[in-house]
Amino acid sequence: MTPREIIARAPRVPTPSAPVLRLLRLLGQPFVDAEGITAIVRQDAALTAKLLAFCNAAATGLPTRVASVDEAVFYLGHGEVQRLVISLGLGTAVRPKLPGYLMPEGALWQHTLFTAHLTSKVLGRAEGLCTEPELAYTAGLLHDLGKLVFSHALDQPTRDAVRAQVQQHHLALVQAEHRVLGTDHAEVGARLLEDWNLPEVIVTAVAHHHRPTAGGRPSLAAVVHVADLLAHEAGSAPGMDGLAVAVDEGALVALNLSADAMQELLMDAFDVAGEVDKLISQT
Amino acid sequence: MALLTANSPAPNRWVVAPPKKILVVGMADMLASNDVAAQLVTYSLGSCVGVTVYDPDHKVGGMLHAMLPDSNLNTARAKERPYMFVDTGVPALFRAVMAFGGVRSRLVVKLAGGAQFLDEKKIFNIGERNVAATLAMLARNQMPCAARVTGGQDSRTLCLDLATGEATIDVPGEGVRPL
Repeated sequence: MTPREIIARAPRVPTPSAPVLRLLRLLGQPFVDAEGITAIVRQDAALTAKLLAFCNAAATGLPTRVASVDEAVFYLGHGEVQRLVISLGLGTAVRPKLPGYLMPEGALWQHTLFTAHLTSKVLGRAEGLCTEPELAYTAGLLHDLGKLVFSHALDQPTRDAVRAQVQQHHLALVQAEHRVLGTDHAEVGARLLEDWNLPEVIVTAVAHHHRPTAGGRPSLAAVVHVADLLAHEAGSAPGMDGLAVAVDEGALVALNLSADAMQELLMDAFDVAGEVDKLISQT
Repeated sequence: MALLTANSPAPNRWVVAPPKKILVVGMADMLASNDVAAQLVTYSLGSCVGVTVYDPDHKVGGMLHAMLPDSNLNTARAKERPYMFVDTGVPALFRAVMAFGGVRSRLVVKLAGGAQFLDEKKIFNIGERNVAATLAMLARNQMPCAARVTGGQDSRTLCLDLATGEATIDVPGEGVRPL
């Protein structure tokens, strides 16, 4: 099957609201100002309410009550507000359980947030890289969207066939999907993001997040790949694949990450897990 | 077992066991307890290792969820959170169980986790190193490892029942089995 055919079989995969899509598209543009972001967020009452509720939660630790989107941007900065709103806006879509991957409710949501937060730690330790943190964050957030599509599109026998490939033949999940279906969740996710008219850089990073050096410009995909690996090591993907992921050594070389740096990053993952738990408990 | 219905005579004594308490052991964390009504659980061990220690006579036990093999990587971090590392976490686990009255010669030690990526060049061998470090630590202290399920690609949830000392492993899609 082609990615398109699989997406066509999953009409019930929710699309983010128009303002969230517009914020995502802004990521591809070179200059984004706070006013542009504020104007978009204001159009969505539910999103604004969620944003303010988050800002006013005790654990966020802001000095005063935040009553408007402008104030949120003032206190948190527009990059952070953009990230938060995208995360909050995507949350409802990725929260249900994925029976096809044996992931319980909330697991994909936790894994995508975990990976997204880890991208900034990877960027911090990688050398000689000029990638915007917002882009990396969003690519991390969207990297496994294809799993949501697969989970809606595939019937039980097909899911079982994929699982058998992983568990009996010890294949990586993407290879198993390729063998059974002729495509994988990375390609399908990328195709879906293309349908949403998201920036090319993000689409490419999602498409290649399991094989970052196979694509043209590997940097963003490599960052997502490493963040995803760390999330799997730290147990943030309790589905059937576990650690059935192939490591792309080229990504580590491209990012200049030594074995010690990887261990340091795993320590960072512990801190990130705390941040993500906080974000989940407040949304 | 006979079920109580609306017509059953009221029993003169109710003896109903409450559900087991679940005490969650987080990442880079350790917990020891003598509460026989509780189970210690640590969720989805990836490359991390889970170690359980139990004294069947005294009915005390503990569980460790360590992430990395060697605290020399970051000694400041190890001071603040010794359970993050195998070499500092395992001794802390034994000390905690013995503080609850566990007796060293009776302790039953089990080990789970340490999964590996599909990585031919073994760049990412943290899982393997975690298991090796734990086994070396036990051997050095003449503590046998009674059972272990380690390596492979599974993400494992580890559970220790403090009433019986029974340890179980739960792998998604494979169900619960004794360790």
